[in-house]
Amino acid sequence: MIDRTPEFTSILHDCLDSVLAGERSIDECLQAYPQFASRLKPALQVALLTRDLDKAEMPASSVQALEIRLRGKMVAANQRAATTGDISSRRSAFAPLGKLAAMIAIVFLFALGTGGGAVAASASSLPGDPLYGLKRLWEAIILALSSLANNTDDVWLHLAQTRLDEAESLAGRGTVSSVVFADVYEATAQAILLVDEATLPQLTAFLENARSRIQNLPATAATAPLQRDLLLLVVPAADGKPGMPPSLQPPSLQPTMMSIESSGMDTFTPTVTPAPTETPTLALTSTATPAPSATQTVRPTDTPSATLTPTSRVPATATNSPQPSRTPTQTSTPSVTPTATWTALPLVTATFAGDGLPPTSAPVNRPTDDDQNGNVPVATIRHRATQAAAYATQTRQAELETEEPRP
Amino acid sequence: MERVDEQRLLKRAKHGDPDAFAALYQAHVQAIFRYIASRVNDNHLAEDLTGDVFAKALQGLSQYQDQGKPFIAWLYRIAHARVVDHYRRSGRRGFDGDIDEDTILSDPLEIDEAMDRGQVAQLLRAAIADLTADQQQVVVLRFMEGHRIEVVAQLMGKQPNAIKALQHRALRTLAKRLEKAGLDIDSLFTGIS
Repeated sequence: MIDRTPEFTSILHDCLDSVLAGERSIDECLQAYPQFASRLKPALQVALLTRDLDKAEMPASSVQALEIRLRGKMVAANQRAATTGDISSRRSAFAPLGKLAAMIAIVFLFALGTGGGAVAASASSLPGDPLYGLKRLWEAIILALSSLANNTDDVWLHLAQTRLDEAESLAGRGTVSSVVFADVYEATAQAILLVDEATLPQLTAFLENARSRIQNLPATAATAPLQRDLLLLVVPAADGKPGMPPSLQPPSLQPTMMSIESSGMDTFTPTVTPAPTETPTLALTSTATPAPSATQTVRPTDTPSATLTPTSRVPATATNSPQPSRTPTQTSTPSVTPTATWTALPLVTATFAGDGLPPTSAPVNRPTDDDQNGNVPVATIRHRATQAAAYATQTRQAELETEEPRP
Repeated sequence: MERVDEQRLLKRAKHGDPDAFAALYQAHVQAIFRYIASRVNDNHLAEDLTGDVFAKALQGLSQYQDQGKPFIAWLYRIAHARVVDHYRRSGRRGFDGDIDEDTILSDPLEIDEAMDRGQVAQLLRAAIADLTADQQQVVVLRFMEGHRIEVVAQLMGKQPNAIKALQHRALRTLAKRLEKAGLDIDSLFTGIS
């Protein structure tokens, strides 16, 4: 006896397609295949009965309740990831000290009796200033304690505002810095990642305000890519909400190129790779002297470019980095050890603008070596002092940024 | 949901965007619920299992790889596994091999011409819930969700011919169960919802 099952299976499939689509009736199929009518008929009938069963629907209240639970799970997972640095392989310069260390630091500071005063004095300091390290230390303590008060998102938002204020203040001094831009990026990215319903309005307002402020910052060849990254970060997504940052580190500082997805547009999937330690180039630094004289200015080595505007208006989402060029622009050379190298600083000069007008941005001669009599030119002395201060700052930051390669 | 939109949402969700995941959830929650409800024949249980499915999806989202299949295919797989797991824990039949065709339904309905349409539907749902796991999947995806054979094959990760065979066996089993329950399918055919 011939097993006609395969044949029947195929005929059943054809009939089902046409009957379910309303192209043929059951009777028409039975007439087309009378040899299989006795088997076709009940199968087709059951298929239609099943199709016509009432569709079960989950109540709207249950759908909503489940969504709330899922959102809560996701936010909690994001917070855990942000604390452990899972999103970026780069250890944050704001890495929490740990609650115990924070407590010890607070007790130590107040035991000295001068901690409060020193911290207060450091509040207005800028990168390169003597008290800036204390300011960052205090911020790290606050951040470590923020988890206890469950307001880490507020703290990061405040830090993002502070970093941007610092960038503007430094720009007012004639300083542009890749490190500063990177710090602004990181703090802003953290604030975006941790935002909740309560802080969303403040974050949205900050990002809107930040856009023009970032655009107005002077850019150099070294900082322009970072500035672009920042602008993309603060531009909202299509739904008006903050777009997800690709990482805590600006994409232009990523050591490996992101892969391109074939979705018909320029999208990038960040690859998680160990970030090499870097010693970003400081275009300029302030002097180690307490206050610059009214006639002494410090100039950037590069001629500041015009106000930067983003090349496209694609919202900054986790996947979009609309750079026309696929080649990453690295503004710094990775080094193996965090402290072994430091970047030679550009020119520092003492210029005297007798008319009180702002100095030009023209580069000046490098400080010379000691003269024949062993005397060190004043400019050189100041240059070396500046170098030392900058080195200390770079070293500290590089140490904080050192990351063990991930297995 | 358009495939391109789904891919964008998936990328954002994988980076921790709750709104993106919520959008994916809203797009697929009812389909998953219907699927589970059809297989377990218990709406309250289906709600719980649906929650498990999406919690599992959220947990495994970082490892999810878009292999050219729609996201719901992955959700169906999770749902299938969850239903099978539920059956194992509850000791219910319906997953270990073909159903014994001589088995009488546990609560045979009294058949008469005035049989309530809802009762017939209940009988049919019970019969579906008693099929093998794969047969249930085919019946739900093919006839209740209205997917074509090729789509069902993709969602289940099987070849179309295998789906046709499952479809054949499932319908044959359902028809026999209804007949054993005393239903005159002919007379019921036009008036059942």
